[in-house]
Amino acid sequence: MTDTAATSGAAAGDDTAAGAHRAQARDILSGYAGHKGALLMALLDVQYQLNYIPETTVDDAAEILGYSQPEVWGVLSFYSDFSVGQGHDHFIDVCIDAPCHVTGARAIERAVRDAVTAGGKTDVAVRAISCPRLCNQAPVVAYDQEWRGQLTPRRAAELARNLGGDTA
Amino acid sequence: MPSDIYASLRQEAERAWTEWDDPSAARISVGISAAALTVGAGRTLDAIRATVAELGIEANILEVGDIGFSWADPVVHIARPGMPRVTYGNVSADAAPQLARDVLIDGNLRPDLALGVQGDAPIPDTEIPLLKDQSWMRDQLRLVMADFGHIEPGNVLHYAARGGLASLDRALHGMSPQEVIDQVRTSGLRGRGGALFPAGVKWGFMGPPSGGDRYLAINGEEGDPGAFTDAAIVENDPHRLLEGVLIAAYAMGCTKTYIHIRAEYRLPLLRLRRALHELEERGLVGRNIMGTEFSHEIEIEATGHAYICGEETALMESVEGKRGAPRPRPPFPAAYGIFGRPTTINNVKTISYVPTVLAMGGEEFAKIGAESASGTAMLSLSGHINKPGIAEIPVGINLAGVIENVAGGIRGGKQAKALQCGGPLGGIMSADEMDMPAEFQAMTAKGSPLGSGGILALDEDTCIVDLVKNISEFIDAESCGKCFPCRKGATHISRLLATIVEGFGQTGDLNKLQSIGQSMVAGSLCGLGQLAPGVLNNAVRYFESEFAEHIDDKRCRAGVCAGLTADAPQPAVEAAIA
Repeated sequence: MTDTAATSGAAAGDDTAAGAHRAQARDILSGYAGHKGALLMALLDVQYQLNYIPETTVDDAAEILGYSQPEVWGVLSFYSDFSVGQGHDHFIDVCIDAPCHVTGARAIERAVRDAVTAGGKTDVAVRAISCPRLCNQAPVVAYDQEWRGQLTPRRAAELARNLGGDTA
Repeated sequence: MPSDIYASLRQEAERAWTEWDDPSAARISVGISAAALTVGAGRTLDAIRATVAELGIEANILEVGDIGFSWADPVVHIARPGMPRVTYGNVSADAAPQLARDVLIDGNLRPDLALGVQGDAPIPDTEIPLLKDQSWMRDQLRLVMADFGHIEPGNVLHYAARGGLASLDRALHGMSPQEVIDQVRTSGLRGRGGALFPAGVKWGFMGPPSGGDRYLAINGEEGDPGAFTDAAIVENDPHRLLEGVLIAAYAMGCTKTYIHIRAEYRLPLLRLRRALHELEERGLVGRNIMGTEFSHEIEIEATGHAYICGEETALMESVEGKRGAPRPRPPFPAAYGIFGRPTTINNVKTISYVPTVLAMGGEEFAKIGAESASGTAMLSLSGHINKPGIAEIPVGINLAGVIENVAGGIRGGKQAKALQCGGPLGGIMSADEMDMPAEFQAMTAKGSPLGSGGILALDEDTCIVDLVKNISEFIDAESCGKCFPCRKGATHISRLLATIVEGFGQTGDLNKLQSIGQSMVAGSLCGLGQLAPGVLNNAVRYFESEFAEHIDDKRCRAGVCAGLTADAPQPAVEAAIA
């Protein structure tokens, strides 16, 4: 991977979307260079700006921040914020932890998955995720990190169909 | 005697406050929080701005924090010129323009949407009660939440105008570090992360500064599903936390504070960063704070989503940017903490009480609450209740009363079945036990420790086995994997529970579950493994017959577990009979 990293990507002026993302990720990482213990914060910054971690970021983070590749993988695989490699353009997150579970998350997850399948949307991934601490508005669902509360299965399905468009 | 620096800040703050809260002007404020935004509070604020501009109403508009009435979000507060503020609930973007028109132009105070009048003086000729007399507010005592929903979060002038930073001024100019520690010790303030360790004693472990860096770490991880008060403090009154941090750091001689908070909490982070920036700009964080010898640096650590990082040694690893796996103890953090330096870790809530402790004095603070734990408890109320939200009560008031009044009772007229408290590592109690004090030790004895204040109320239609399975899946997912009894045990417990709810349980499964739990307790390095069987064991304690029905009779009385027969015949069964 190191050879590839040296010969392709941002440094070599790659003008594909992946190349642009790599360049952006390298820029973000460079902002943390020399900062003690910055690996996690730097990777989170990349995740939240790009909505994923480019695979090349493993090598780039190791190089720029001075870690080994296993250390970078160790952090990426530990925290559930990270999704490595671009799989989908959009995410629908359904909280499935206890407060949402007892207020109907199971039916909501089913409704959202059915709506996405029925709509044939392949660029949208449905994730059952852990508590975002909005239990006072349970059950909650997010479209690309925008959370909606007090949902019913019907409204959650509408949200999925309308790609996050307002349903309230 | 306030210092000159504080006195001039206070003057400036009062001017800024009067600019917003000008009694001769109309004032509209909208409660914005991550929770309120999920039900459209942002659109409500936009609608109000648009209406005021369109109608040419002269009114001050402010984005304030969350007053805690999540059940009534979006919440809007409106004051007519010369009158007290009235708090309105369920003000959608569609309803907001009419409400603003009715109240500010027609003088119709809209009792249908009003939750109550703020302050102590009723408005003559209206039927709107005082907010403080409402059933859900009567039992509350808001020390930490005093300014929730009243000030613009992150605005240091608003914070100071309401009395903020006076405690810091008093500590820095009138008290030695030891005197501050003594006050906190006298107050009886205990760690609100759930462990309830006396805060003043913990601070004393650091000893006098010996040169070199020493750190304070603030635990804002609050990973428990069903607990959301730490994020609420950061989001609604970030300066309270920061003032507490500065006082604690002064008392222990810490050179730097790391505030650990998840990167995904965007609004709390945004407001905390603004709050810190405003303090830095005024020289209230940095070198020679308030003209004294005391210097302190604060760093906000936006970290990843991992429940285990609420454990203090895992949190230190996470602050260092690594995987958040717990460290063996000893050495303890006070000797070897972040980057190997002496470190004290306090919860967000604990530290947020500190300005109040100094303002009241330790002895006065100790008079509030219960003997075992002074002060108030901040509650995160969720589940099958009419009024989910954030509340603050004196420790020790009646728990059944809290559920009935503060939480508004069980929704849909149903009966309460159980309370699951203290998060996934807490416990559960039968609703039959609720007539007891809402107090940490008493609730622990009942098997449902209050912990960090999360109360998940469950109605009669809840399947306890299904709930325990859900919680065991959470623990399985969040075990960091370092200790194999926890890693393997959590997996086996959740798999075994899955087979039970699918109708393949076998006699002896309950013993097996409890024996795996014992191994986790004995063989785990940190609290996650050690506390993991708490909910399971207490669910069996109160609801053993329900487990037996699932295992032996293949029956789920709540009709939740799809593979089992329900008490009420399911449609498929009826069809088969017909």
